[in-house]
Amino acid sequence: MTSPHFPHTETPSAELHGVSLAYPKGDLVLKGLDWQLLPGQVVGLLGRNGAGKTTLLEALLGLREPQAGTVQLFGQDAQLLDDATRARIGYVPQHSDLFEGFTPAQLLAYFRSFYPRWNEAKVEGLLSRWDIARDKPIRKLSGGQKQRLSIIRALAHEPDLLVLDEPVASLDPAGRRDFLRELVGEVLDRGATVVFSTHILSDLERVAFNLAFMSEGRIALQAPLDDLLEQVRAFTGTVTEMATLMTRLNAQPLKRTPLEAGRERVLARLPAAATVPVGVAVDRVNLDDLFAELT
Amino acid sequence: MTHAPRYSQVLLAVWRQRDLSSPWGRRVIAALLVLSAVAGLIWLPREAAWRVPLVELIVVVLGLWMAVAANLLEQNHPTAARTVPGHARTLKRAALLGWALCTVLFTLLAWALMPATGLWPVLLLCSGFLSAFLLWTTRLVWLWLLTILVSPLSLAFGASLAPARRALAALWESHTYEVLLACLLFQAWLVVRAFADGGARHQARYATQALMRRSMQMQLEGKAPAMNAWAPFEPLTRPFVRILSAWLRHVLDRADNTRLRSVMARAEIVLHGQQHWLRYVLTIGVIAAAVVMLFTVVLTTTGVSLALVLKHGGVGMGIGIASAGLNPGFTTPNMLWQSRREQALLQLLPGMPQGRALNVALARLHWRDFIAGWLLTTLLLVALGVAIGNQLLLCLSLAALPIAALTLTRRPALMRAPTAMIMVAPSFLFLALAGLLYVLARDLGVPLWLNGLVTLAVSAPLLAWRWRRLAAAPTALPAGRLA
Repeated sequence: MTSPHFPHTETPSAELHGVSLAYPKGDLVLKGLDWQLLPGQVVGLLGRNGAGKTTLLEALLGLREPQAGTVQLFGQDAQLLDDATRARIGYVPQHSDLFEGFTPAQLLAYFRSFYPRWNEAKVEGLLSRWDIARDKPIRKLSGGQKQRLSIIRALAHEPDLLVLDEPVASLDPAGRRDFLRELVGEVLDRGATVVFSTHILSDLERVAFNLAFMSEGRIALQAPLDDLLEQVRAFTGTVTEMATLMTRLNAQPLKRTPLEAGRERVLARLPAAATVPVGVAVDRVNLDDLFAELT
Repeated sequence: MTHAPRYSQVLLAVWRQRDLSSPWGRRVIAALLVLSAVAGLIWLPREAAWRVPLVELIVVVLGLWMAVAANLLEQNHPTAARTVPGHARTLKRAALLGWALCTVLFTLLAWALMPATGLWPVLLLCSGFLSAFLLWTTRLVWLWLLTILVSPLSLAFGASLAPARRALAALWESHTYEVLLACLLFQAWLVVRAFADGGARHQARYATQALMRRSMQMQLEGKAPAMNAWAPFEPLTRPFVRILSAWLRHVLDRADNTRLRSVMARAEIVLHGQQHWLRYVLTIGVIAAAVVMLFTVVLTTTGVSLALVLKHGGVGMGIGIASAGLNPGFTTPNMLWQSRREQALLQLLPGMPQGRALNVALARLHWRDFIAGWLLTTLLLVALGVAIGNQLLLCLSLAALPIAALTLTRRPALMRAPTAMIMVAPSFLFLALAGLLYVLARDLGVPLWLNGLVTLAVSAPLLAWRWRRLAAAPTALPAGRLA
């Protein structure tokens, strides 16, 4: 997938190696985390409350300095980005960082002056479609409207890497649908890299082609959504049976849950086209199950 | 690509972000400046009259610079600094431009006031320093404390620092322009250092400052912020929180729904919120202790006598005491706006009075606090008056009565969202009326008792009329529902 702004390349948009990060007087939030985001990937970041998703996204953008490891954006150290690289990044934080004394029109004019490209037609279209008053002080907008404005600001300069931290948290179902349509219709067509955290799993099923599950300060698993739904199964049996089955299927156990009487439940990812033997107790899993088991 | 638009955007932001809901403050300040300039031209001798607008211009220049500097620092958001191309750099350059302009303008205006030959390098040095200092005070408010400490510190360390001062003076005499250039470069560096490029420390500091800004904005709008909103001072507020919790337990332990006093004591905790009488007493107590301590330190280190301070500063102290003791009372009813969501629930609680009974009970709460504050303030003013031999300070107590009759009898159901203007107008009126009574007594010989009689004669019927109107008004809570 290519775009005038973003020629196709296999150079990762973002790359984290061995990133460890702790808050002052706090425990480690990120523990030797490795992560790679490739051009054109749309990644949904999943994790329990307090798992460190926001910290990870902030570290990814250079807003937090890790105690160990490296973070690179478009091949540059995230702490030392040049202007050209900054212009390729869009960010919607979890909490509004809009200058609330401005009106939306003033805020957008303000940021327009800093970016070398700015899609005014898209901005105008979104302001109209999302019904945001141009000349009302931002502090008087509702939480949902502020969130939409924040999204418009992040999309306006057509970034190649879009980082969204719970972008739909304040939006009603209609607003979420509009936002996701925008994400699919505008951003994906340009081949941008998108990473967003959310708790609304149904939204992920609509747009996220890749899921990254965060647990214990690391990315526990990242894989395309369709593959996960197709290949991950929950098996139940004795410990011995499970060990034999995993070896026979060449499956990758993701989580083991001990049950009574020497039995266990194993969540495992099967190789493509693997066939489960007849008579084995196996369940398909959905996104809710994956979230509950892997985070 | 030209960068002019981004500089105009960051420099004009201060004007674009101004509070449009209460423009009157700015208009009043502008009118006062114009009026005093005109009055100076009319009444002052010609050789002094032209200095008034010049001094005012200096005040305007410095005030504008402070507003621009504070706004530039507010724009220095860590996320924008890291992710928006050229953002932090633009802010730094804009601040440098503002600092240079302010320095040059201040130097020229000061030079026009004191056109002594050879003085301009000193003026340039001082105005550059002042401009940089003002920028930093918008980031670190406590820097203002240094100005209070300069006098005692210079007395304490003056002798030991004298050789260094003499060496600097000699260096200045021998290499004036080189030293001036070095100092200006250092000041410019200080200006740039006020801005950060993102990062954890910047984020933490910005979050603290944002909290402080929000707290100050809330205060301007009559919303007293929670004590822990003053983030840097949060540990200092912990004893307060413990005392307030103890009071809450005390009130709840004695809860009795058959007694109006008990019901309203519990309701008051919600209705007066951050302006509850106990919070107010604790705050005033701490401020009074700090002032006494400061005075003790200054008087003992400088050797100035208390009598001399009282002689020259007695009236100012009186105004300070009256402002602290009476102004919060005028604004207590505005607190009802902050708890209007909880008021619907309060209305449903057993024992809560309804209709006229509620209106009266609520007004009594406001008046109880005001009268307690008024009595204490009057006592302090009498004591201060005796100490300085000027009982005219009681004009302040008298002037508070009609203002309270107006502000404490507003109908809560019809109240509107408090604005900065609504918050400060009673204080302005109060001080203006007190000033009028003071001038009548001092310059026109109107006896104080007559002033008091007239004030009471106006206040009593005003209060009686407003009280009847308030009692007959729609149920007070939830406040603002009929506005």
